[in-house]
Amino acid sequence: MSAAAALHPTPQIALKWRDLAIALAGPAAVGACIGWSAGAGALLQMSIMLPLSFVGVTLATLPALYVGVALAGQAPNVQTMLKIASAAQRDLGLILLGLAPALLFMCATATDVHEALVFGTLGVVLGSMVGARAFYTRFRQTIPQWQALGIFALWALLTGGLGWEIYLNILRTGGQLL
Amino acid sequence: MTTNPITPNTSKLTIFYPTQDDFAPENTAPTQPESTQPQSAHTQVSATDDTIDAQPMTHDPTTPAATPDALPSQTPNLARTKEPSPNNNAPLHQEHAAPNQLAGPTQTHNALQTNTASVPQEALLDVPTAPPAQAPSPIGTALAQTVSTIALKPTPIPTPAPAEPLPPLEGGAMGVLDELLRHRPRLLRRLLEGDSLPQIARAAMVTIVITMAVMGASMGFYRGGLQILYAAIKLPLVMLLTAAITAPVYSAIKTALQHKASVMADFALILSALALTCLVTVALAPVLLLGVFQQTPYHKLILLLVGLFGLGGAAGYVFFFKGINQQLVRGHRLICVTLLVAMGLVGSQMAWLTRPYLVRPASQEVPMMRAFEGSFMDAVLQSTRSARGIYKSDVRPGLKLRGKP
Repeated sequence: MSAAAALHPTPQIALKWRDLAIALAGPAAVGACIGWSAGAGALLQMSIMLPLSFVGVTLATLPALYVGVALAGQAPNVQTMLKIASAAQRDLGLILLGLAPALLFMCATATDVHEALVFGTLGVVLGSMVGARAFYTRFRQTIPQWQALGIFALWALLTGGLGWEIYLNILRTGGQLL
Repeated sequence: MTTNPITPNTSKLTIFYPTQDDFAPENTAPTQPESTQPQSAHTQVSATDDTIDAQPMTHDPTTPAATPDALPSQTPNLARTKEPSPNNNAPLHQEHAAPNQLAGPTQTHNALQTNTASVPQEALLDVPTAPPAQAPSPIGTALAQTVSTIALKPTPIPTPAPAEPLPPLEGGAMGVLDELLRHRPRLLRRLLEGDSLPQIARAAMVTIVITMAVMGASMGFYRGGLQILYAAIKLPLVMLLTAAITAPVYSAIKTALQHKASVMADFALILSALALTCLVTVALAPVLLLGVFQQTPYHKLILLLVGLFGLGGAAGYVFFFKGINQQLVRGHRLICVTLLVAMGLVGSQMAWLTRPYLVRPASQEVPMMRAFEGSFMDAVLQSTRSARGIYKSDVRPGLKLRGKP
């Protein structure tokens, strides 16, 4: 086995409680960073609502992805699709956990709430983009046909737009940061 | 006319080989009466085994060509007979047969008749119509074997030459520095293969500390005095803390994209890239000193510093980008952009927090670090507004400042 091949292990898509914990901990950590400069209340609300919004948006739009892929004739069974989505959520949580130290530093040293909000939003957007890339990797591993790429791209745009609207609503109502 | 019973076995074949007489334009008369003709050296060849049962047979050239259906391609041109053979145009030699006919069971046989011995038509007609079990000729067999050999043995793909083994890392930290400056591909290969990672990480950290201390001292030389010591202490801390905060980003993204993430290897790569940045930057320190000796104005000196650190950062980032490309198969561009943004923001904020380095000429005191006020982004925005003639005179309504209601 070459050195490059040794660095790319077989993907594991078994659902575990640890994966669920990581999927929730990442957005919670980023939410805490965003709400840090606005007080304890905002910190708690953001750390609860951000993970719920990530999971909720994915669950709400996942059936659309599955139906689209099924109509294209390339859908796996439902259990496999759920496992892929849960593994992608775990990957997103891992990415946001990795961004959390840098975000915490930037938000904690920001002069005002708005500056912290800018850094936090940048972290959420970057993390979501990388998380979408990770989801796409697992998606292509299971559904390698190129026709699924267009369906996935449309789904990613839809989910990104919906997620952005929900994120703004959370900032306004939950964290009162806007 | 002697007749030899032909074994009513569908596997038995009678093979005729053409002779010179077969190619005669017309050969109507039998050369000899059947009874006096010498026995032909026909052999009955089994289609299933290699034994040859030589049984004399006679062949009547006057009889119509009633070749058995078993050998349509091997039937010689029976133009020697008056009646045209149904297979008159059939190829005489096995080589002209279809390839699938060549792949039949190998059979040994002898060259058969040398003269036209008569075979009673009844005997020929009695030959049962057996399925065409081909008896290839020696040339045909060789051709078949060659074809099958060509078909079954593809051209071997040239395998790349195995990579040379890495030479041991000698000379300690100086060996690492030497590879970092002169043999960067070899160092990247060491990082990829996990060779001497602790040694590389230690050497990179020592390099960062020493080079940034020298660079800090050069910057502090502008003000002189204690500022030389303060800047020599703060600048290495900025680099190392930036690496410590942004290294988890790389490991987390690598793991999420299903790459094998090794914290040690990732940290060693980041430290190596920062070490190269620091080496290039400190190599440009004489330019800064020249500006100081030339009494360059403060703001121009700041811009010169930004340019020098930018050049060093570019060199380190290229090295880091190559390392990422080696380690990752997918998503390396996205990772590079994410890390560039993360390290840029964290590094600039870290440098802002630990200012000053040059110290403004109007400052009376030389503090180790200024009071925590503003941020790098805030300073950039303020400088942008100042450049447009907009100056901040009072606090914006609703703006929440740290420590103030």
